[in-house]
Amino acid sequence: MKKCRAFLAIVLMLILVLSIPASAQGTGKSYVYNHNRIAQEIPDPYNVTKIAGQGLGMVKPVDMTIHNDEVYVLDTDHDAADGYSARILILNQDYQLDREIFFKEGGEAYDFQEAKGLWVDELDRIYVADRSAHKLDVFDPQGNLTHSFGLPESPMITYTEESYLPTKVLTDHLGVIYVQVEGDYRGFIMMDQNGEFLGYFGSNDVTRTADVIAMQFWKIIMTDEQLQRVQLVLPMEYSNFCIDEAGAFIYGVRGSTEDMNELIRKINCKSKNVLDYKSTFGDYNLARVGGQAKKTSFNAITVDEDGFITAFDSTWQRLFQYTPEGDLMYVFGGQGSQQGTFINGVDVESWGKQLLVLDSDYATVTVMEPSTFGSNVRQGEIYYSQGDYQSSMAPFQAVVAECMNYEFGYQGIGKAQYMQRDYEAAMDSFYLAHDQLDYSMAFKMYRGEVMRSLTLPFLILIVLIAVIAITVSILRKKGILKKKKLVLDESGKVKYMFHTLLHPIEGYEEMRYNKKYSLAIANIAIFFFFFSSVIMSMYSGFIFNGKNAQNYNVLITIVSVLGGFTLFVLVNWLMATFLEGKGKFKEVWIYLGYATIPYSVTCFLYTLLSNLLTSEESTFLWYLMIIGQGWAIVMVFFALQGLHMYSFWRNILSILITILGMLAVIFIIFLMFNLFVQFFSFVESIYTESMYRFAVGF
Amino acid sequence: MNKRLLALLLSVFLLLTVFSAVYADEETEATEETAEDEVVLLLDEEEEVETFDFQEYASNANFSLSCDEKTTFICLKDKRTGQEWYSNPPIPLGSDPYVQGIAQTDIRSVMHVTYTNAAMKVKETNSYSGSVMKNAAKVKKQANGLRVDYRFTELKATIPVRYTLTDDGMKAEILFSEIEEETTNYINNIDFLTYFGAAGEKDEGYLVIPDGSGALVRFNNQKNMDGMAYKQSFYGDDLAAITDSSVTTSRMESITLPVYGIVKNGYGFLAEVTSGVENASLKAATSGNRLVGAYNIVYTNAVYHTYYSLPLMGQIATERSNVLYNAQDRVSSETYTVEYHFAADDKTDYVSLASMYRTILTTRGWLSKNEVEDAFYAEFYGGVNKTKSFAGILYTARETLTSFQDAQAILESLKAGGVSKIHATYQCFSDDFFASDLEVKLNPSGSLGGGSAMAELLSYAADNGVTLGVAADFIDLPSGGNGYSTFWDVADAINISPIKVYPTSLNSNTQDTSKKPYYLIDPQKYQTAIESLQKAIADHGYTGLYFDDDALELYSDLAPNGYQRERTVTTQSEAMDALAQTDAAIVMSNPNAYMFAYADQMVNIPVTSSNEILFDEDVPFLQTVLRGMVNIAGENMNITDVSETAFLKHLEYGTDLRYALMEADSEVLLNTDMTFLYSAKYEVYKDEIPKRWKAFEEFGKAVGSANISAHKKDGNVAVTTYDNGAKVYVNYGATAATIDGVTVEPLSYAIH
Repeated sequence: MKKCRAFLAIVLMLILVLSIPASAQGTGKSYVYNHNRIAQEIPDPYNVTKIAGQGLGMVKPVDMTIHNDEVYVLDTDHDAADGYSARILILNQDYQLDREIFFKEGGEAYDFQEAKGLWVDELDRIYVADRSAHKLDVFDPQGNLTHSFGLPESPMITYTEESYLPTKVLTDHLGVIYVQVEGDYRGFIMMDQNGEFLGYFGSNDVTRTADVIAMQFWKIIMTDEQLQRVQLVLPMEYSNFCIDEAGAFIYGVRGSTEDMNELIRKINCKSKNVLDYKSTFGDYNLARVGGQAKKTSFNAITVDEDGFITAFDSTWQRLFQYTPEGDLMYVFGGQGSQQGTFINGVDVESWGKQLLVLDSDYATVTVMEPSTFGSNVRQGEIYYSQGDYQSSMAPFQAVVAECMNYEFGYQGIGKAQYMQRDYEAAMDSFYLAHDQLDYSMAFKMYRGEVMRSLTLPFLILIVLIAVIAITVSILRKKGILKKKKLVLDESGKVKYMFHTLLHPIEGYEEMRYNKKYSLAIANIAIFFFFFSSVIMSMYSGFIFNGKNAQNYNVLITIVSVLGGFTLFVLVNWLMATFLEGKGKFKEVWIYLGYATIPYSVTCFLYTLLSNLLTSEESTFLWYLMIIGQGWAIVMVFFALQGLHMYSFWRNILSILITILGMLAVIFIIFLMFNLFVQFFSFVESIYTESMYRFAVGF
Repeated sequence: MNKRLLALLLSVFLLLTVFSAVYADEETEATEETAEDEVVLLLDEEEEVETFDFQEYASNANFSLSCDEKTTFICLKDKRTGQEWYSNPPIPLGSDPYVQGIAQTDIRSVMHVTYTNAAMKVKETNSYSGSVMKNAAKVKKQANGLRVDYRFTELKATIPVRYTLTDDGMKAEILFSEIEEETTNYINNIDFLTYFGAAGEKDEGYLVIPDGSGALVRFNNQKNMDGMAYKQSFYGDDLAAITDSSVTTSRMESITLPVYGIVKNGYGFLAEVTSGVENASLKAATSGNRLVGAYNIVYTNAVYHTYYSLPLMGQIATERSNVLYNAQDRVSSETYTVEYHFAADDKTDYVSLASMYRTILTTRGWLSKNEVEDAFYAEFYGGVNKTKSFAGILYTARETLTSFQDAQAILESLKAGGVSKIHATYQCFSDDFFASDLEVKLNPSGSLGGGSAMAELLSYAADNGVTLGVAADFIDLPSGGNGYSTFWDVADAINISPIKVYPTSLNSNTQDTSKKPYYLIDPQKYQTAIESLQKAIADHGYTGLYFDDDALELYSDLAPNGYQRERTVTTQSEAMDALAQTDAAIVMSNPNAYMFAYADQMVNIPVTSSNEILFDEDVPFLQTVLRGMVNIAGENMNITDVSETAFLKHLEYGTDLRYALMEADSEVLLNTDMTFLYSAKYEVYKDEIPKRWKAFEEFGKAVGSANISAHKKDGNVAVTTYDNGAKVYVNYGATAATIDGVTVEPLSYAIH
């Protein structure tokens, strides 16, 4: 980051120079998720510039749309004094009431049962979806009913007139009408201007989650009665949709679903969701309130002129803005009675840079504009998605200067630095952005640079070593230097250990008889087994180690590695009594201790290589681990066979029983732990309650 | 009332008693339509034009106080202006076009009472339907006023209210100490004088709300949807009462002044809650709502007996499993008192009301006229605890953000840039902070340079006219040890277990219980902490102490014989008294009114309100009270809002600039508890600060120690006038504007 000082002038200019209107106020607390999916505070990306709609006598606005640079708001439950149950309020660009449209049929007031959705097409025709009347009404620009569409006829539509609940409607450039029907999980109904059914659009698939597959299995063995009680597995229905200005994509949102990747869909003309590769939408790490997780439930969506997608979450009344590729930019808004917070947001619309939110209970239209922070993020994203990383650098510099929590900013900066061939700086930036792939790319270039610069010293070093080696051998030959024999391994146990590693079958079998094993060597091996795991967790290269090494806790490794090893030895030794194994506890410990050595060595090698290789070369590491682990498994197998003097099949049986035994022990430990926790919380609540009772005098 | 009516009343009442007994099980929360409301509707049918008979009970040179015995309505006549101020709109019963349910009688009540009955159900009643209509209210003449004893037949309690004339208005009191409770019902809270001075639909003017910097609510602003009404505790929420369901993630400013006001057709009053305010809250609403009627109202809610609804321990928190807890002791205030001060002319506005309050506070000794010098305010952050791992062994490292040398270097750099006057504070610098102890010993951390570097910084500051307040905190206890127990020495919540304050989770609107909580010291046990602070000042030669928001928190200890907020105010004031004896100057973060007397500098003075939808505009109400009396600075700009607009607003409100500063790269803070400090690197703002300071230097020369005497906003241009004649023009618009012959460039200012 220190290299970026030159940019500070531009950064400051970008932070400060963009002016915002005088009455601008922030929204509720805004945040963005970091790579660990933990919410991080950021400055408000949008400011409220106006709250419109007050004093217009709106009662229960339900939908709005932007048409010909005017805002159309559909207000329902209107005071029946004038006989109209719904009306459209048209606001001009200053959000003042321009005119109203009252719905009429043959000069008489037209009565809606439950108007829900509003759309105005290119020919100024007004479409209103009347949910409870099961139809779609079309009006001329003066509000006179021209015609209505009921349930379209088609063999594909399987429900009745009564269960046809149209809630939202829109049309595309060709005049095709799209209707979103409550409870219809097959997608939007498409029909032409004559009300002829054209098909379903944006159909959903049932995602094959583990639950769905499990359910399919249960269905085979369930009785009919049981089956009836089980909910049908259906894909989620849409809750709202919008169409972009070019008419290229229709964006659909859905309420709560298990499949968070399906919450927002960007559907192309072939009815395909182009965002289906995205992992998830909505909130992470949800708190449970009243025993229930408060899941994100989108009820409105809009896309602006730059392609940014904004969806409204009715659970917490917050706005989520995504890039055209579906990456989360920030979350803002919230529940409350302050400007920029909502109580029952029902629709969101984009109008140029502005964002409009319709609140049904407050009967307001909240107008928001990007703040300097929001503008910089958006500008950076626009350049970034165009591949113009150089231009994205300045806005992203401003973003991280104004808020260091905004990880994606570092990624943008890193890309620019990469293009400028400042690979070391790019690595730093990608590290902060927690972007392993780009880090790997920068690292590859950096490694190349380092290696090129090291060629000469490396050659010199080789020559130097050669010269020394030759000198030494010459001196030895002449008898000036005498070769001393170092005897550290008097008993030959170390040598035998190496022998066993390379010849496990023979080595282990003979070990019983020649007694060339050593507790000390085994303990050292086990220590290295543990130590290598620690080293691997702590010091593996960033490209191969997504976890934050600074939060790594050795206790977990102690429990899993040392605890696991001890448990295996213990259970295996216990089981040996049943299976007539010959090994003693100490021997099992030593034999298996030897068997960990290949794995430990691999871990060290892995750690070393992971700091030198890029993600493209990860196959080497993968093979290395396979070899190391395979070798260790082979060692374990022959260690037990040789020690207990089992036959091949009996040995396999013994290992299986050992694993089962371990599981049983772990289960009991968990059970005890759980009981203890429950007991503790019981005592705690008794104490609290009695303190209270004691205090208030029963 | 004639006999026929009484008989009818009685029979309906009997019938409804039977009904209510039948449906008693279904009553959960307070019902909006009580038995009495049915009666009201029957009364409508009488169609008698109601007349009021106001009899004079007291009179002085400026005011006369009269009362209509039948309804217990009060009328206060201001002899100077001829204005009559009624406790309730003197209109016939049932004539309001909007009100429904219990609100029909609320509009004729001086008290709306919420109480808990023996079955631990929350119920509501009001003085009109619960007492006056039962002929159970007695009006008595008192010296210089009158007293009404309301006996509530259903609640089975008598609540006396007293009105007394004063020189500039009236004092209204609920006599807490004389409340007689006949059964085990708990009186919980009382909306008091809801409709006093209420403005009707034809009146022009606004309500003055001291939320944050201050806000105006224009009469009949059409913001009358349910949920838009305003309610906020005075002096912030009580941490003893924070439960999962009460957590909010929206940005709120608090009410630091115990006042509110109404300006109606040019006349107006300022009301101050002088007793019982610590547990009270402020409410406001505008006309057109079914619970409010055709009136614009602002009033307070008094708490008599604290209660909270909490999940039972060991159970999953659901609405249903919540249990009502009533505090063992009632609030200890003798009375709940609201004093109304009336302006003597028809040119009242929010500035004159604020000036009136400034005079009141000056007379009381909470404020005094001081020489004020504008300065640039810097808040240094010393370090942060960061969890690190060495060979897998986790440990807490002291990560340096700004060492003492760094701070000195930044001060030197600011001086070199032309910032001639600096007031600095230093956060997160002591061993106490890094060790998660009460910040009272204040040993400078060795990781930041230790005692010698701190001494050097202090001497640099002294030589260069920089004041330095070091962060101290005798309230918040992050962990036990070091002489304080998180069990014995801390305040308790209503369930008699220690109050644990958790950070709020940003995305899930709940307390983040995965983080470490902190505790609050028992208000009766500040003594040793204060002694430690006195020793620290003597030992290290500190010239200033800085108390941030958390260190000035007002909270209750709801344990038996614990101190509720009204007593905590006393102990905290005593603690500050003791510190005021030392040489150290005291810097406070947006203090509440009762702390004003102890503050030499006030920082984090907000330049906005909470931006409630109900509000129509922000005004410098708080600044009008404070500016010119004490040095004031705003919130850390680079964390809240660094824009040019925010800078101009500081200028408009006469509030000095403040920045959070540190030397280290911001990225150091990733994966710490201090990510809120997301843009505090000095390097980023190095060039901007001197530029902005120039404006304040100019401002300081023109304004000096003057008080704000007028303020107006005309479109995009705001004009603040000071009582020495100086005027500050600020143009927020995108085009140049000319006002009073002064041309102001777009997004710029002019000082004359």
